[in-house]
Amino acid sequence: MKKYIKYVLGLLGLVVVLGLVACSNGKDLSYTINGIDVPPVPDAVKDAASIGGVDTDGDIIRDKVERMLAEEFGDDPEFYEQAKEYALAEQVAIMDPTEENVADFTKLLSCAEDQTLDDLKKVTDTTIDTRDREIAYGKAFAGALLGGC
Amino acid sequence: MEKHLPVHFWVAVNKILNIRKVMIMRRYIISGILALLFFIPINSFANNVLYINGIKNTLEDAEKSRKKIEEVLNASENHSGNELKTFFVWGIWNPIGFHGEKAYLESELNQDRKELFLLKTSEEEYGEDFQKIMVPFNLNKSVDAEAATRVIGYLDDMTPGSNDPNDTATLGSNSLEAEGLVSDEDMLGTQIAVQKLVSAIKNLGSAVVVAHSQGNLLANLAYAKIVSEFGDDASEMVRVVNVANTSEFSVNSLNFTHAGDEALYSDANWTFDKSIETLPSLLNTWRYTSECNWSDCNFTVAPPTFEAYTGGGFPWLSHGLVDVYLSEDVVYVRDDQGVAFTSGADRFVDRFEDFVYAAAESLELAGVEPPVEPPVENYFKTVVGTVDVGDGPLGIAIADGYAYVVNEGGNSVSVIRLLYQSVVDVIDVGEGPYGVAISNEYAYVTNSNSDSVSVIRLSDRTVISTIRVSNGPMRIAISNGYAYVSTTLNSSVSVIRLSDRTVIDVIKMGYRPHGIAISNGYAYVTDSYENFVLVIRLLDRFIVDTISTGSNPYGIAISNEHAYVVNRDDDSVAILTY
Repeated sequence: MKKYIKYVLGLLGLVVVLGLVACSNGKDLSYTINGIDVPPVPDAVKDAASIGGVDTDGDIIRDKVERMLAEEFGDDPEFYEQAKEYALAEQVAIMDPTEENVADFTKLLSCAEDQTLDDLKKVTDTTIDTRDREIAYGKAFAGALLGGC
Repeated sequence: MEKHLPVHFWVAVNKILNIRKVMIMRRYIISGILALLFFIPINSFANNVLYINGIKNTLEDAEKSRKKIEEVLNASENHSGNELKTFFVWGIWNPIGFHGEKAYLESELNQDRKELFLLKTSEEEYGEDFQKIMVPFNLNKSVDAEAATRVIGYLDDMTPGSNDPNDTATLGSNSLEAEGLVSDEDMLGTQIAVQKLVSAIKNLGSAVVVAHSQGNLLANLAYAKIVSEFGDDASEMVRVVNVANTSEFSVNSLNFTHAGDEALYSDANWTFDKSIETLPSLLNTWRYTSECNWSDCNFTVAPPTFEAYTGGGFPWLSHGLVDVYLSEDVVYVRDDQGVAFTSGADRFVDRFEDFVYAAAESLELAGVEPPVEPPVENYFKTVVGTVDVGDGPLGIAIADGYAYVVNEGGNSVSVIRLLYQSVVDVIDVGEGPYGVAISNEYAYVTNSNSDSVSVIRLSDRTVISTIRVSNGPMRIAISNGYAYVSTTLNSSVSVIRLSDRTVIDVIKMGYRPHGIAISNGYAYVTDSYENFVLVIRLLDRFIVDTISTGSNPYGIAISNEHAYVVNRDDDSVAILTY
C-alpha cells in the first residue's frame, strides 16, 4: 500500500495544477486592479519591440493598456467596458488599418459623449507610446472621416 | 444598319460634351423642383462643414474640435428666422505630428518641421499659380484651371525637385530633399489626408472647409485639386475658412486669423536650424527659397481680419482652435474682408459663426444641392437559409413573394416561395436557360441553346409562348414594354415588343455582347470580346457611345448614379458615372 502513496499524491498534485490552469484561463490571477484581473506589468523592452507589444491573454489589447484601463476606469464598470472596446478597436485599426477597421474605430469615437473624449485620449496616449506606434497611428488614420454617428 | 454610326465616333463626341455641366444643371433643377413642390425655403437646406485639424491633434482632439464647431453652428446664436441655417459638421483627420518624434524641440529636423518646410516651399514655388486660382467668396471670378493643375503636381510628388543642392532651377528644389532628410514615404500621411478631403468634398457635393493651423496648407491643396478638376464650377463646391492660417494664401478670402496669430513662431524664435527658416519668426526669415525681411514676412496676400489679440497672454501662444478661436473673448475687426459681422456680437465665437455663415451663404447662392444624409449602415451580411434548386442554376428574378431561378443544366425554372424558402414548382423551358426578367405578371427566360425566349405566365406558372430570337440569347432586361436580349452568338441585341411578343429589331453590336442593364432611357451592353460597354439610346435604338472599362467585361448592374461592370480578366469591377 505504501508504495502506491507517492503515485496517488503525484496524481492529486497533477489534478490540482491542471485545475488551477483551467480556472485561470491562462491569466495570472494574482494581479487585480480595482477588482479587475489584469496581466502583470509587461517587460518594457519586450513591450516596445513591436506594435502589438506584450499581450499575455491574446485579446489584442496590450497588457500595459489593460492595466491602465483598470487603473483609470475600473471604478466605473460601464465606462470601463466602453474604454476597453475603444482600446481594442484602436489597436486593431493600427495593426490592420483596413477601411472597415478604421471606420469601426472612428464610429466609436464620433459616438462617444463629448465629456468622455479626454478620458479616451488617455487610452490613445497609452496605446501609441513608442515612435513606431505613433507612426503606425498616423498612417492608419490619415484622412479618417470624423462625425456621422 | 446606317443608323449605327461607328462606335468610336461617339467616343470623340463624349469627350467634346461636358457631361459635368449637365450634372450641375441637374442640381439646380432638383433644388428648384423641391422648393416649388414642398415650399422649402432655400436656406433650410443643410450645409456641410468639413473641419481639418492642425499639428499634433489626436483623433480625440480633432473630434472635440469638430463637436465644438458643431455645437456652435447648431446653436447659431446670431442667426434666426430666414437667416438660420442647418449644418452637418464632419472632420478629416490630418496626421501631422504623428511621425514618432514627440519632442518638438529636437536637435535634428523632426518630421513636423520637414512637412511644414515642404508645404511652405511648395506654396512659394507655386505662389503665382495659387494667386490665379484664388476667388474671394463674395466675387464671381474666373479661375485658371491650368494653374491649379500645376499646383496639384505637388500632390503627386510630395518631395518635388532634384537631389542636387546646386540645382536651384528645378521646380521645388529644397535643402531637405537634397540632403536626403525626407522622402515621399514621410509625406504619405499628408498626401492621403488631402486626397480624402478632396473625396469628401466631392462626395458631399459641396462643403465649407474649416481649416485650422497647418490644416490650411492641406485645405489649399485640396482646393487646388477641386479647381483643377472642375474649373469655375469649383465655386459651387467649396469654400475654405482659414482659422489661424499658416498659409500665405486665403483662397476664398475668408481669413479668420489676426495679427497676433502669425502662427508657430513661439518655437521657431529660439532655434536656428534650417527648418525654422520656413516658419514665421521675429528673428528669422520664414521663406527658404526666396528670403524676405522679417518685417515683410506677413500674410500680405490675405491681410489679417482682426486686431491683435491680447486677451490670452503672449500672442504667439494663442493658437488653439477651441481655446481661442471659439472662445468668448472679445476681438475687434480690422478688415472685415466682406463678411457681414453681426452687430454687437464681438466674441471670437460670434466672429467664427459669421465667417461660416458667409461661406455657406455664398455657396448657396452659387446654387449647390442639398447635402447628402449620413450613410446608414444597412446592408445584407448574414446567410439565413439555402434552397436546393435544379441543375446548374444561373439567373434569378423575384416578383410578388416568389423567386424564379433558371437551371441551365436542367432546362427548367425553379419557383421558390420566399416565405417558406422552399421550391414549390418546377417549370420546363427551352434548352440552356440562362437569363430571366419579369414584367407585368410574366417571366421571360432566355434559352441559350434553342435560340428562344420562353414566356411564363406567373399566375399558373405555364409557358404560354416561345419567341424565336437570334443565336445564343443570354441576358435579358426589360423597359417600357420592350425586352432587350443579348443574342451573343449573333453579335447583337434582339428587341422584343412584349405586347405582341414580336422581335421588332436586331441591333448589331461589337462581337460578343453579354451583360445588359437599363437606366434612364439607355441600355448598357458589355462586350466581353471587344472590351467595352456599348450604350444604346432606347428612344431610337442608336449606339451612342462605347466605354472602355477593362478586360473581358461581363456582368453589369446599375444602382442610383453608378453602373458597375465586372471585368473578368482583370479581376475588377469598373464603376461608371455620368
